[in-house]
Parts: sequence; C-alpha cells; structure tokens
Amino acid sequence: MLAVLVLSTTVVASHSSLTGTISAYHYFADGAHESLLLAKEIHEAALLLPWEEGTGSEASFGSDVDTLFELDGKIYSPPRSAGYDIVTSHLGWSQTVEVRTVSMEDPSVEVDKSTFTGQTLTELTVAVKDGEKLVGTYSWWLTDPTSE
Amino acid sequence: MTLHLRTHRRPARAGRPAEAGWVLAASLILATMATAVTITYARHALLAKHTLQFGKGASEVDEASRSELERVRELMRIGDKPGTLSTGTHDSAVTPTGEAVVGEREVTSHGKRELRVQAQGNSTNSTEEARLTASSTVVPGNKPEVDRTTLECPTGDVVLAGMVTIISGSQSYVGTELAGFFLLEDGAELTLQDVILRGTILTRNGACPDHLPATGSNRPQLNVYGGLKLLAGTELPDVAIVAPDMVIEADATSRVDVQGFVSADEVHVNGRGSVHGMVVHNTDEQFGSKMRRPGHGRGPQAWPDVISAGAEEVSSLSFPVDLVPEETIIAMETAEIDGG
Repeated sequence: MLAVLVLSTTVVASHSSLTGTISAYHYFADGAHESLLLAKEIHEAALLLPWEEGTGSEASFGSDVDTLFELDGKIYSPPRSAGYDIVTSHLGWSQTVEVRTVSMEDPSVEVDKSTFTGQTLTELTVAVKDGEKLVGTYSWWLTDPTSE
Repeated sequence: MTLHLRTHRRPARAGRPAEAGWVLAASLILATMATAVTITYARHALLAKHTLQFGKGASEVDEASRSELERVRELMRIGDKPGTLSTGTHDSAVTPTGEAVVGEREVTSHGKRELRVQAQGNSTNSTEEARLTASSTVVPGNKPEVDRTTLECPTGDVVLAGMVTIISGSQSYVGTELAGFFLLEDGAELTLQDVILRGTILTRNGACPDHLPATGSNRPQLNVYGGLKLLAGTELPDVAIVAPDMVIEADATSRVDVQGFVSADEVHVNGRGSVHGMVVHNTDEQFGSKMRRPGHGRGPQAWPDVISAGAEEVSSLSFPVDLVPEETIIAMETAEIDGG
C-alpha cells in the first residue's frame, strides 16, 4: 500500500515536471519567446520617444514617428529593432503597434482623454505575427518621460 | 592436550528471506523517489520557463512588473500616490496579458521613496513571479515645497489663487510668518513650530472634491509644536483649514490659536489656546481641557460694533461705574442754581 502511494506520488510529480518542460520547450520552439523579444524592441523605442512635439528630444522612430502617439497604428514588416534597424533574422514577421488611453481604475477600459474626467494611463500594445499567424500580443503601461 | 572446539550455531530466523525482500523494495522506492525529486528540482532550477526566459533576456512576468512600475510612477506623478501592502494602500491591477501586479511606495526618508512591484502570472502548469525594487528621490520640480498661483483639479477645473505653496513630502517651518494657501499633497507632512500663518491650509481632496481622499498612512499630516497662530486670510475669509483627509496633531506643550473654519479627518489638539470657528472631522476629535472653543463651533464671539436687538428680549441693563473726582462733587454741591 505504502509502495503504491509513494510510486503514485512520484509518477504524478514526474508527469507534472515533464509537462512543464514540454510547455517550456514549445514556448521557445514555436516562436512565442521570439515574439516577446520583437515586441520589446518597440517598447524600448517607445520609452525614448517624447509624448509631445517641441520638447527638445531628438528621439524618433523612422521618418514619420517623432512622438509616442505617432506610433499608433504603425505596422513594421519586416520587424524593426529599437534602433529602427531591420531585424534580418525574422524577415517574415511583423509588429503591429497600438497606443491607447485607458482608465487608471480599470485598465481594460479604453477612454477618450478629451472627455474622460477620471485618471488615465497610456498603454502600448504590440502584436507580433509570423506571416499571417498571430504569435503574441504584449502590453505595457507608460508614464510621460518628461514628468518629474 | 586435546583441544575441543565448540561451535555454537544460532538457529536460522524463519523470516529472513522475506525481510531481505522488503529492504530491497524499500531501497528501490527510496531510490526512485530520490531520483524523481532530484530531476524535478533540477528541471525547476535549470529548465523552468522563467529561468530560461531570464537567460534569454525577456519574460512576460518581468515585463509585467516593469509595466506596473510605470503605473506606480504615473500615480505618483498625478498625486495619487500608493502606499504599502501592510497598510492596505498599495496599488493593484491586472495587466492586459493577465498578470496580477501589485505596486507599493514607501517613504524611507525625507527625500527618498522606495518603490516595490510584484507581478504574478499563471500559466497552465506553473506560477511565475517577478519582483522589482526601485528608489525614487524627491527632486526639484517635485520638491517638498513649490510655489504656484493656480490649483488644478482632476476635472480640469483650475482655481486661481493668489499664492499657493504646494507641500509634498515633509516640510517644516520654524519661527516664521507665512501667508497664502498651503496645499498638502497626499502623504505630505507639514510641521509648524512658532509660526503665524495668515491664510488657509488645504489638501488635494479639500481643494478638489473629485480628488479621492487619501487614506491610512497616506493621509496628509499637520504637526504643531510651540506656538501656532492660524488666521484665515482674505482669499478664503473665515476658512482656516479645508482638509477632510488630514490628521492634525498639536502636542501638549503647544499654544494654538485658530480663527476660522476647520475640517479634517482627525483632530488631536492637546495644548492650550483657542479655536474660534466650526470644527468638522470624520474620524476622531480630541481637544485638551485647556483649549477654549468659544461657541463650540458657532463662530467667533467677538463684540459687534452695533447691537441690533431685533425681536430678542432685553432682560437687564448695566451701566459703567465711573469714578467722579472729589472736586467735581464739591463743585456740584456748592453750585448756585438760579430760580431755585
């Protein structure tokens, strides 16, 4: 009886452990981790962008993005690094960027900053695709870099 | 000589073969368990997703903690500073990708704040967690004392004010005269010692009702030592303190004279002196026995210039008793009155 109990526990623990390993394997083998890295490139670029023009910052992302909010709706295919270089190892991939204003109270709710009276938060979302297949979507909250 | 060797044979135990079998089985089970445990922990240590992610430079839960750190900074920027987990004033949220994040801000010294964030993500088979700690320095622009001429509310309303001193963090004034509005941000601490203040003390919640009141240890605090003469100014006549979320404390040796309306969350005034004006509080009120409160909040009881009796009944009259000099009395008694 004791042997059965011990063996069962061992089998369950081993199964759980192996399942975790398989999950981790697929995470890295199927591109999920690469998609996070590609999304992070956009996030790193966004952190350097000014929120308003005329702040004296020289940071930009390509010829048509001088502020954070100009990133909204941009699709980069092939994907770009934080320094706006083409990521040649992933030429078939793309990064779709969205910048939106959400409620501080409930960040799942998008609000119109011009009419919303509560506190707001700026959210950057990057969807990464391998061809037409969506591999991952990642979001970050941001704060104005010029604020004290 | 004959040597007799005696050999004692111990009888064989009946259960020995069976015992050997149990020992073998137990050894096998223990060996299996030890191997399984070793492999499991080795996998957790070396092959865990989070460990591998960390080695490869990025993990979702780490990014979630960075995101929460930005959220805490934004809360601090807009003046809605979170507190700590232990006081229940921390910030918590769920990221768009499903990680539960918690952010804390602790005042570690006069100019230092420690920010701690924690993110927890639940995948199918494991719980991933990331923590970040950062320190923040109170710098000029966000310094304890800032002079302004306007007050901006979350609604976008802007209140023009003659002279506003914004206090964030800790600020002390000793032996001086002050004037104007003093606006205490959430978590700010204002200490007044031997001060005459002509004006009004406000908190964000007092100035802008849409700004949520600070709670717990994040409430603004006014400490009074020595003497304080707080006289309502001309911008807000008869209003001394509008701070529904503030804690006011004056120690037993203080001498306090407040003239004007006072609202606060807690009032503890244990010194001596007087408070002329209505006192409104939310939680607690404690006035020392040596504090005079004329009218108990019905306003100052100064003598008016003109008495308007109206419908009130006059029940008694009194006249001042003036001392008449002796020579005047003699002159009056000796005076000749014509026609007398």
